[in-house]
Amino acid sequence: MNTLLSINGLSFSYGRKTALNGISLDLKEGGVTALIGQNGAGKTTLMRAITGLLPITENVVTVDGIDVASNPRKVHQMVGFLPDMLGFYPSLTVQDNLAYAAQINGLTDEEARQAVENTLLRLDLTSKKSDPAGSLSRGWRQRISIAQAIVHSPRFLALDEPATGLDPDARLSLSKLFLELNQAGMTLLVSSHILAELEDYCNHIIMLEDGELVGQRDIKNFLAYRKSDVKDLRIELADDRTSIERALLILSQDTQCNDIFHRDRIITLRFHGTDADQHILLKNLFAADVHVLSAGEDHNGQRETLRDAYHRMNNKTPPR
Amino acid sequence: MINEFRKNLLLGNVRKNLIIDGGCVLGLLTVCFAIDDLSFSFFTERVAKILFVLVVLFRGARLVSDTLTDEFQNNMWDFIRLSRQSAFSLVWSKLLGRTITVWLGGSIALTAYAFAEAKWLDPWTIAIVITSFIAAGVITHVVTFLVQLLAIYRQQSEGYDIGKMNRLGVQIIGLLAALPILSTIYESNSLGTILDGVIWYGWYIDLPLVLLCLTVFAITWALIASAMMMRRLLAYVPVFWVWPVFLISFALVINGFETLPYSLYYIGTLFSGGVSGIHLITLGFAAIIYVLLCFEPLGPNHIQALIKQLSSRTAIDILQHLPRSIITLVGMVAVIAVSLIFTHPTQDASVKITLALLYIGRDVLLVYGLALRLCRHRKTLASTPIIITILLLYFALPFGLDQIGLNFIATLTSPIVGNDWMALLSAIGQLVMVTVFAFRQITIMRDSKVSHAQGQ
Repeated sequence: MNTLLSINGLSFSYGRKTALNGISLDLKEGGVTALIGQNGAGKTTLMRAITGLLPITENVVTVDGIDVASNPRKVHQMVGFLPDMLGFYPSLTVQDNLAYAAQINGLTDEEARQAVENTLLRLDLTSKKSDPAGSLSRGWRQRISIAQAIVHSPRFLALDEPATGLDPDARLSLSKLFLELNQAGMTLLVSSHILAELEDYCNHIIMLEDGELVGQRDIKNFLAYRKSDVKDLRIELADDRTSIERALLILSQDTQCNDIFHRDRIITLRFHGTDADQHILLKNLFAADVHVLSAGEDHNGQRETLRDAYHRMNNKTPPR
Repeated sequence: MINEFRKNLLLGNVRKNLIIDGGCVLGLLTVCFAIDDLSFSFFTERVAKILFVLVVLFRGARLVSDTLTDEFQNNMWDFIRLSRQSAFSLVWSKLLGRTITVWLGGSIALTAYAFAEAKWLDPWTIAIVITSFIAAGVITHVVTFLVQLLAIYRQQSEGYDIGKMNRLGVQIIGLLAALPILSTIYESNSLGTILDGVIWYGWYIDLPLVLLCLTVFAITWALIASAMMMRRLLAYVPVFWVWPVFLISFALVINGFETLPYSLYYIGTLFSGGVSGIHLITLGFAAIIYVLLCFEPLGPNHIQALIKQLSSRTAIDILQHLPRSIITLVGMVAVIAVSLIFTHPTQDASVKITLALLYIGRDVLLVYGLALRLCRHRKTLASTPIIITILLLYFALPFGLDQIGLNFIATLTSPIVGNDWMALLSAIGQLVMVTVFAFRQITIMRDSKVSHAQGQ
């Protein structure tokens, strides 16, 4: 795959605040890249610099070999951008908003008409096409903004928090849409805090922290299979309400136990500890008079999730 | 399909505004018609003029500023920047698309005015007055739009998101641009009573016609400037020849004035021997340079890009990247040099003009030096330090020195006061000092970039 985006030592500051510091990375064409990082890490600034919306110095960012700083117009013709703030005209209908987006991005009347119809279908907006955009809920507005960004089928699409405000069904549709767009040849860069969905469609990951690049790799290498100090445990208890309550209390207070799930007498959890730590945990349960029938590794769901990997890279204990 | 013009019509809520702008004007004038005993007369004429100013100028300026502020409020400005729209189509679509109904109301008002004045004035005078009103409306809209674009450009140069814009300030500037031509219209009930005029390239021209022509000239260039500014905001390559052409046309227009109107006689008293084209060009170009110094974005990145262009590129690339203040200063030197050769001014005038050039050169270099020194954490120098510096140098310092009896020092610091070889020497000395200061800042900038690169 060719390199579509190349960044070489990008730095940017807002007054005294450094937003980006010496970022260097390459993105291959045809990939879907996740851009993750905490709030204030520089994700939005990076996206705006890539799309030519910020005044950067020359020969630092190139898109398909074109320098963004010296030829921003050529770059603009290739990119689509969805900002984190929703953008649309509230008094225009959904269809009019998309028609305008198509027209100003160079589509002819016929091409625009077709593109608008296709995009309305893709984002499930057909039923709302005649409604004023401002009268719709947050989730629908988010879809309108996404639709505007993709209606002209750009070669490179940067999306800043595209799933914000969407319900789970809509987020699932969005994941499918991104896969569809990628299969149609679009290169995507997606920033999001909803890590669970990113791993559904991303094949590459970039991680920012305090304006610096702290990680960049293929997602398969990023997630760890069955790390020796991370395992899924399954604990079967006697059908005794008191035992179950005591067990849940002890497990929730143990910092090595996460993702505790309980159904009937069965408790499953993610345990971050060695075999010796596991032994101590069981001893604590017995000491609390919890009737444990069996305890061992749960062989369903072995893979570390992106969320866990993210927190592991941040050296943080994953939240419960 | 929805293009930019149609979008602005839709956003402008044409149906509602037709009632406000067209319906209200028509209604009020109908009442006046009734008051005037069912004829277009004095009362109708007065109200028609007032309604035109209120609807086209005041309300129109507000609507024009809305066309840009709406894009930020709806978070669509970046989307437009990434689009393939041309700058010119954006400019005319926004200007006309949102104000179409105020022009309808204005047309109704001017029609009533024409009927009312038909009994008293000849058709030519009525045509001049109506054209002057229209010119006043257009220049208000275009200047409001241009100033708003300038404010956006400055904020964008810093990389900030565009925050709240001072819309009222922008609209006031737009209205002020129409003041000269409006004051002529309102000076008397009839243009026939205005006796003031000028001689321009040997022709005597009445003041109202002069102001109308100058307003049309200003409108043309304000529209071109708006399109050029929009091109910059959309990141198109700058059109390098537009600014030099403007300077040449400005010089040609100004140079033709052999006399000034009575109302501007004070300017003539500044020049011993009377006003001439070269004096007016010096004044005009100086004013342009100082406005540019205050408001053209200038920072370390601009200066660095300029140095790079000067050392390695073609003349066209250099012209594209040269700040307009520098181009204007070079143009001013060239025009004055040519005028000095061909017009043989008095020695006093020559000294004054040379002093003016030296001090302007000093101020330009001073601002560039300050842009490097003060912009440690900004991308561009703010306007406030520049305005304060100019006020100090040309007003506070000479006034203060004069108050404490040190007027002779004031002659060494200001071309307005100074007029002899001592003032010339002082000006040259100051220019040398400021040049050293500016180049020192460039060296510091280069050294800090080298050490930063080595540190990496």
